[in-house]
Amino acid sequence: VVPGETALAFYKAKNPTDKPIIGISTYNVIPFEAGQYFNKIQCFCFEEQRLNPQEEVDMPVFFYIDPDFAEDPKMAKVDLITLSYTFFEAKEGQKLPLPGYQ
Amino acid sequence: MSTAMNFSTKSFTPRPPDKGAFPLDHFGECSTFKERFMECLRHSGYESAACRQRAMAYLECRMDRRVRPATPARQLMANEPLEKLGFKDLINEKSEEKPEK
Repeated sequence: VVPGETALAFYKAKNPTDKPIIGISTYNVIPFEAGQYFNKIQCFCFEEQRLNPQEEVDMPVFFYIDPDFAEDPKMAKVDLITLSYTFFEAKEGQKLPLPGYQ
Repeated sequence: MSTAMNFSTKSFTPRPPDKGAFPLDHFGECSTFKERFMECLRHSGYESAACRQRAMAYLECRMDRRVRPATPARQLMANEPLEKLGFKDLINEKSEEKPEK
């Protein structure tokens, strides 16, 4: 992936149970310092997503790495950035601390 | 993940995506496009830049579909021109060739 260029990535999620699940996900970027350069244009996170029993669905993320990443001397040794998502089951009345996003 | 015990680093604050959440392709309507994109990635050694044409095709597919239940607000990046999504150079190329069916 070239900093500044938009890129697409896919994750796949499956609901192996026999009940519909409503999940909500949050993400993490490693190394931690690279997180400030990671910009998501669109992804499936922060909003509740419903998966029916046995449903398997592709989850796309459309993003770019801020071109300033290439200028930051602290990032000079970073050639691998890992983006991970954790899914939580959304429960009634429970909300993740979303940063003012609706 | 950084531990909370390290006072000198800021904690990681997740940021919401610029254009909001992607409505999911529950019916797999654009799976072919996704497969073609993934195939391209595998062949190119996972060079994202080599597969931008197919990434654009996937996004076009999603944008053309209405997400069920059909509510205009849920259409993927509704009315967002591809140029604004970083595909400007590919659009110019595309208009010079015949559209692929």
